[in-house]
Amino acid sequence: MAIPLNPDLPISYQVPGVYVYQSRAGAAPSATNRRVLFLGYKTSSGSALPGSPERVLSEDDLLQKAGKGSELHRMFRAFTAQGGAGADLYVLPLNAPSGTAQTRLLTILQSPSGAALGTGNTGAVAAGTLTVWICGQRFDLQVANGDTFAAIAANLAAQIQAGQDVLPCTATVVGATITLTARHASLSSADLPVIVKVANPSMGIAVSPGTVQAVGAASGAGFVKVGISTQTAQASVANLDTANVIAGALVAAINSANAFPISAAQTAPSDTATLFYQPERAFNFNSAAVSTGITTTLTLAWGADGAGLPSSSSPSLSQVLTNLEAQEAFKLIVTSFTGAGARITEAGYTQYGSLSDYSVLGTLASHVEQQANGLICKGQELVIADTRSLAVTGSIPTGTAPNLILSPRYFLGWSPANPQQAYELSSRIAALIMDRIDYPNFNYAGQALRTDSRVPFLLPHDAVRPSNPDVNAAMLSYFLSPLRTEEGTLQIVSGRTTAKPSASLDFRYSFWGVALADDYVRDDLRTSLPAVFRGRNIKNYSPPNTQFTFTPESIRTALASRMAFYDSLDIFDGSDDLIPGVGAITNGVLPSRMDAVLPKRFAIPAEQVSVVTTLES
Amino acid sequence: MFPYGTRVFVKPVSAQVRVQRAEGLYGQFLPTGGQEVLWDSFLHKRLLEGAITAGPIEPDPVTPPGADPEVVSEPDQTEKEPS
Repeated sequence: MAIPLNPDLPISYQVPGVYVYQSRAGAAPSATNRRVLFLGYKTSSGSALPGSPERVLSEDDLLQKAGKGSELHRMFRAFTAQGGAGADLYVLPLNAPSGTAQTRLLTILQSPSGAALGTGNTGAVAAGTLTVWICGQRFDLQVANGDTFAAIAANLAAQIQAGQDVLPCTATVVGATITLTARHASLSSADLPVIVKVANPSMGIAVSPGTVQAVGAASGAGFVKVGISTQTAQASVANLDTANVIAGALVAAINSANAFPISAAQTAPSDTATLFYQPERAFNFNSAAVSTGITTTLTLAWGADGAGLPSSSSPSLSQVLTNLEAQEAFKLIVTSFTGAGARITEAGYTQYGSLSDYSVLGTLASHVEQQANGLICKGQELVIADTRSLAVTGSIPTGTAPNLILSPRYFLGWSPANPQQAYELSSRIAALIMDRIDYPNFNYAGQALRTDSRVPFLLPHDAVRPSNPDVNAAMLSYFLSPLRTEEGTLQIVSGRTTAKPSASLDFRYSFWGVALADDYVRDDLRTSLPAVFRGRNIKNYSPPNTQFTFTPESIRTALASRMAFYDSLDIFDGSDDLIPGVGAITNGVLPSRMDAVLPKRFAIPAEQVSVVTTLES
Repeated sequence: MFPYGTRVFVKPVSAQVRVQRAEGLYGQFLPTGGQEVLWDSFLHKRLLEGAITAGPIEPDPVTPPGADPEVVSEPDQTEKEPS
């Protein structure tokens, strides 16, 4: 029979070993790899050597290595809150690049009356509670009647400062404004969700994330728009519109947008729109834009935009990945380096907000693919998540080089406007997988993300719950793994890889379980097959007479045995009919090499049952 | 906005943002230059997300009797921003 050759193993490469090429066309009994790597930034107080992977044994250990509130700290907390008890956790800490840290503002103001700013009060006019959630962490402030705006801000800032060890930001206060500053000066810091709720409207206070000011009259027609989390409000601009008119139109557009996560007000006429948090709605990924060529520009006073990539860290990401090549495979790699920003470049607009950049994700994908080939044989999956809108998140798998749609090694969770940071979601997904890795084909549809009593985990607001058509599009058009609130928990609708089915990439690789099972089989072959040939020579023309030789049939028998074993574990779906397809021969050019083929057929997830009920007489 | 089922001209806001052409048309995306589509709830959500622009389709110009059809301009297919 024709034996396919491992295309990654040239005749000139003769280092002894077993090299398995995983053909994806058409179609774990050894110690399962339980190594999980967190790839992210540490703070300056973390003592770990940047760029060097280190095992983490506890949260205290991690704090020492990566620092309080660092991305790595928060990944660890999310992972361990979900579970993942049997995982071997490692961190690969990077120094933050010399970029810009995202900031968020919380300015205490008199509550507006519709689209009109409130005036006349200097503080709360009734007692009540002001609640702020920062990346899910809750801070409740009891406000007394008569507390000034500045006093409320100071008291709230004190509360946040007291609990900021677990936050990805620190708080400062000046007057009535609290500034939350991300711990890392990087693009990844742009993901900083904040929710505000004033429990008692009669308190007469509201909280503002900042202002948008129109500068200059329009010299042509165009648009002005503001984007928050997954939604955008847009106002038309007519030629010769003054800045006051433009700001007024923006206020009206924001307040009339469907279920928008912020409101706006101004003391008309004014060139400035003051924005207000809407109760229980996540404020994140804020952006704005105005048509170019109409003279008008915008001045945003709503905090700095996160910027800076790990490619400019010291050491750089590419250097760090070189270090990683010498390491054993990590089953899962969790990272914050998705490149998610508040905006994607849009022609015809002057834009404001953190700018998405998927180049780093491409660098990571290159590393994962190169390390996964039939020579190096590292079965590693990259677990990431995104909380932006469908089409924007959907731009990731095709926005990287190489495209993530070309491989099943990427698990991209999608939960729009989630009030937690995306890397918290990916950490939880990784923990969930590690809890089930003993059965690598596990069906992840309907599995819930959970937490413990230490780590808060909020659900997205009902207003942003993805519809069935959106969920279906996420899976079939964008190759995402949608997460959606079901029965009070955030559940994985379907564990889908970013693989786009094609002639060279079977549909079954759409499932996390199949990608993981494929790696399991390879890992197992690499540990079990050496027992067949180690210390032995090949005999091709007569049977072995001593323990010092074996024949190609021995390899065939060993492979068939493993297939039956995989079937017994329900990793394979039937082995008896596949075993006749097993083959092994001595390489015709390099007689010290055996070429073998192993047919595979995995048990795949069941996600739907279709029933027709019939009416009988 | 447009009633569902109306023919409108829809364009993705960025070449980097691929937008599925309509509900149920999996793997089919709007061209970067935009195209006429039937307005549906799926596209409406994309508009609210800021992923697309949408505008009405201008009626075809009527050719006056006796006019040379060679000189009749093509209908304007450039994208229109939402009104």
